[in-house]
Amino acid sequence: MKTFILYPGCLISRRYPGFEFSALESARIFGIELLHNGSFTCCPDPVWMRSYNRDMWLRIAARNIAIAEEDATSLVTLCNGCFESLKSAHYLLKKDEKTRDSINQVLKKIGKEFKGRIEVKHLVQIFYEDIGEDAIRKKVVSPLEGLRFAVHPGCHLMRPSEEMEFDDPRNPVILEKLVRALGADVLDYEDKTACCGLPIFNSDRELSLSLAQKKINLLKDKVQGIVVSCPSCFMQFETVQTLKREEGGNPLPVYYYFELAALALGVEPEKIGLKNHRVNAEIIVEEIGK
Amino acid sequence: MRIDPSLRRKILSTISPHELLLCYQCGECTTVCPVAKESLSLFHPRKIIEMANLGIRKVVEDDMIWRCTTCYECVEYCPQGVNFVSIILALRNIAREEGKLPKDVRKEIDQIVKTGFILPVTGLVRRQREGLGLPLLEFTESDELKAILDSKKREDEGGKG
Repeated sequence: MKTFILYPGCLISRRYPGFEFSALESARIFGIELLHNGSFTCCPDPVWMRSYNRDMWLRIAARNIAIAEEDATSLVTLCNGCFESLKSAHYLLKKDEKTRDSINQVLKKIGKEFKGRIEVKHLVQIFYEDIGEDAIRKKVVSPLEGLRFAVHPGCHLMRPSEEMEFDDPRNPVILEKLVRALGADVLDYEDKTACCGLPIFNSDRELSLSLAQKKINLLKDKVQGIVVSCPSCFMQFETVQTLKREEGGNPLPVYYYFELAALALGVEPEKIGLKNHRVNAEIIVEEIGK
Repeated sequence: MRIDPSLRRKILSTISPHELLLCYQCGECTTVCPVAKESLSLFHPRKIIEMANLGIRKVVEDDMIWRCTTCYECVEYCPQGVNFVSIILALRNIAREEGKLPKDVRKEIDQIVKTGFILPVTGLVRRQREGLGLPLLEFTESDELKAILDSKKREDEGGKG
């Protein structure tokens, strides 16, 4: 059994616990145990906390990383936002000695220290690099055959590439490879890398939603669902459809990658929580195994 | 357009100077930006860099800087290796120091500083977590958060830290 420290994040642990459950169960099937730790806070939000005060952002992120370092194993996130926030802080603290020293002065007050001994990873990365597509294919018991999805990897899974060092920042392929490993077909489409718009929901709602709407319109009726690796993108694609800004066409279900993985790997569909989606997502359960 | 050399100095002191000075205004950032594709009048990365570089006050006073999603597309395509997102974050930090911050952003920041998280644990989520056998993750270390943020928060509110 391989163990990592789980960094569940605000949205997953406090709005989408089904995602957390699916991720834990999927990982366990490959002998990976993700351990909880109640000391973590918000990563914090890489967009707004950093926009508000970069130093405060770095202090909170450094504290989270220092907590994981006490156990000396990789810190695994389930969300692109947490991934970027923690990884970016990690990059900065490793690279810049002056910044590291000043942050460590602050952390000293609470008996913690950033040492740079561990890595920050997204669970998607663990699935691709540590487990691999072939091993996933072998464990699939309910292949998602006959289903066609579009993937939306989301910006912060691979950008900024200098810090993230994962996948191709201009043409990401890893998430779609992982969806194919579950037996489903994947549509390649233009604007795959385009942002969902969620990060500006708090500052310009209309503009934020129009970015998501554009993607939904492009994919609607072409695929059975859009697959994401980030709960923020998930929320945004559901919100824009719940608001029914535009009439006509079928709604497009949104899936968090590890919900699909859990489904294909044989986890009971009721436990995954597809019924909690705001856009009907249970529709694919009937399709599987037909 | 009011030019304020002290604003330019402030921007250059918070980011590595080459972020601004290497930009030769080719506009590639604007071509690949998903927000600029929606509306150039609402968001124009090349113009933001130009204004920041000249120290034009409008750049921190206008709503435009709050429309960057930080998707980093521009950073991946910039032929000069300029990190536009880092410029945006520096400008937002300066705007916040001057008291300009979108209302909903302020709410989110207060929530994180006070409780450690963006969202509270609702009764529904508590029941769902219990039902799935997930730990409740009650956060009891607000004191630690306070200890590392306290001086910072006072500075933000105009105190001496």
